[in-house]
Amino acid sequence: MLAIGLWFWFGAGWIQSQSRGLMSPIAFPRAISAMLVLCAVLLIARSLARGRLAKASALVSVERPWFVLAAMGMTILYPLLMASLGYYLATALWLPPFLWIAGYRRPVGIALATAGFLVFTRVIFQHVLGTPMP
Amino acid sequence: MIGQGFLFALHHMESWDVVAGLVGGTLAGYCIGSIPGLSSSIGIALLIPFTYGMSPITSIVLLVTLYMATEYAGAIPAILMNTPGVPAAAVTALDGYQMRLKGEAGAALTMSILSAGFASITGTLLLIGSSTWIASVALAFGPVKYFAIAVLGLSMVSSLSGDSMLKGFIGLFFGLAVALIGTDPMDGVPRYVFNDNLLSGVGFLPALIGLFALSSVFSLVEKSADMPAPLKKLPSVSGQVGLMRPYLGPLARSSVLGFLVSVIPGHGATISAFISYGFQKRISKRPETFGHGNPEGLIASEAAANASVPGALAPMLSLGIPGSASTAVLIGALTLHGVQPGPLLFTRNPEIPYSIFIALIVTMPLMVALGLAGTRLWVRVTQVPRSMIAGLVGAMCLLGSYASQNDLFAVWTTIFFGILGYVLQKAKIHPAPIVLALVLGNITESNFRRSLITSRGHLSIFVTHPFAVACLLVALAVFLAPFVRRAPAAAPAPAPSTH
Repeated sequence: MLAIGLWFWFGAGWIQSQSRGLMSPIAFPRAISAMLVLCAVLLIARSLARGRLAKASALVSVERPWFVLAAMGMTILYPLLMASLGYYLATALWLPPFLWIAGYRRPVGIALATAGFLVFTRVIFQHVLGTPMP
Repeated sequence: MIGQGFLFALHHMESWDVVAGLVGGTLAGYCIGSIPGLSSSIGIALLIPFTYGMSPITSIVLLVTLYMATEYAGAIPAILMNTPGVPAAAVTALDGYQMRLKGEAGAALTMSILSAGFASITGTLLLIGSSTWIASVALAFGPVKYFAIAVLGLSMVSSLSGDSMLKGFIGLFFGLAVALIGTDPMDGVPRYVFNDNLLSGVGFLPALIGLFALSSVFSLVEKSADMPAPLKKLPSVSGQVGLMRPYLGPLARSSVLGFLVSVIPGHGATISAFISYGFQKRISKRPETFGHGNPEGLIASEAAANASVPGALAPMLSLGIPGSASTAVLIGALTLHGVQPGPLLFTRNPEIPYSIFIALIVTMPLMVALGLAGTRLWVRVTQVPRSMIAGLVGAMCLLGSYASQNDLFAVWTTIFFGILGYVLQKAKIHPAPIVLALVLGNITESNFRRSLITSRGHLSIFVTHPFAVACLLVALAVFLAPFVRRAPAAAPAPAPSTH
């Protein structure tokens, strides 16, 4: 959040505007980013004061971390698959391993859920709502 | 005027689409509320993409009925499995689950649905009276007063922050910063636009789906090894209204209290349920039995949580300020349909607020009937494995995000906010302040600058209007209240409301 705040602060310098002062489009971004930086610094300072920064990893625990990371990786993969293979093929290839990563291990259930989801989206999005799929 | 509004809305609602939206929203709400881990805000965010092809009335009816049904259905797993379907149902579980252990599961479910029904009707009547009045007063507001109201709305971060105000502020300022991205609302210059897709700003719906729904998918993946506790015996539920006779006082009190608490922006169902439960326990003749299966506790929490749905809609409809995280998502849904909530809504699009009133009233008997007749089905929904829910909701998030803009950039936005939302949850930074800021950021900035233009740059304009001064002072008090309360290091605060 500190880095994001600094990015917004320095990024405000690139905003091209004729107006100046509080009415300009730069004033609000500067104020918001300054507050974000201030809060982030305060949080870091508070953690340091309490001696918690070194123990941060102990405070944040993630169960099944590799599965969570794999789920995130699969999620990032999905739009790439969709762009190259189209929605239906991409989903048919993506959903079964995602369900497996999520912890569902029954092959018949995975196949039925994937097929059901594809039929459901085809009926609802393409036929009822008329949303074109990639 | 109210009668005309109802007639106008009824004219617009004479369609099978609206009826289908009403029934579909209620059924979807029951399913979503019955599944622990999915809240009403997640449900609304997931269903918005389905509403693109619908008229604004059909879509708002669908989403509002879903909101209401989800709030009730969260009580089902709370009573049967001691696992709240929505955060507010944690209070219901205190006595509801104890009743189940005593073999009174059927009575507990009957009482919860009847309490929900009564509270929703009471809350809706109060909503009709209050929102039309507030909106008529707010019609005369200029930019100074709007800015003050927006700041008041932002101050509600204090009740959405959970256990750390500082983390709540970080979420708020991060949300305000994200709201800056795009074309400046006054001068029209681009700000932080590093991709052409960002010229109109960060997509509100893709960001919402990411922050609420996709981040929950990662949490579900984390916990998916925990299987729902199997139920050996399904309860039988009856529509015995007589069960409620000894508890009419707590029922009426909690309904009104739940509505009043949730009218204050940011005070959603969870805080209403906690306050109502605490109040009922304080005035009860048997306070020692609370937490041990006292129906008064169950009724107090259920009535307050369900009355909070119309309560949270009051500031949304009349001022354009979200009363809860779910109403923040509803504002996003209305905006996508070209409808801007606020005082002008009652004059520009009167069919929208009055359709909501009608939907809340008409849905109630349907909700009670579905609750009483379909309990066995909702119980089965609670047994769906989390891993299956994670997979299907994940796929739905990405598809829904794509459908919102017919563009893969929206999917990338959702993925970014989904991963960010998960990381922030791990850091105990709740997404609700971010959504609050995304909704109010633009309103705050544009009205602040408009006010300065009218005063030629003098900040004193904000202290010349008594109403604006009052709002800013209340906002300051609300900002500071948690620090004052926490000074004596009292009891832990309730979890932030996410619905």
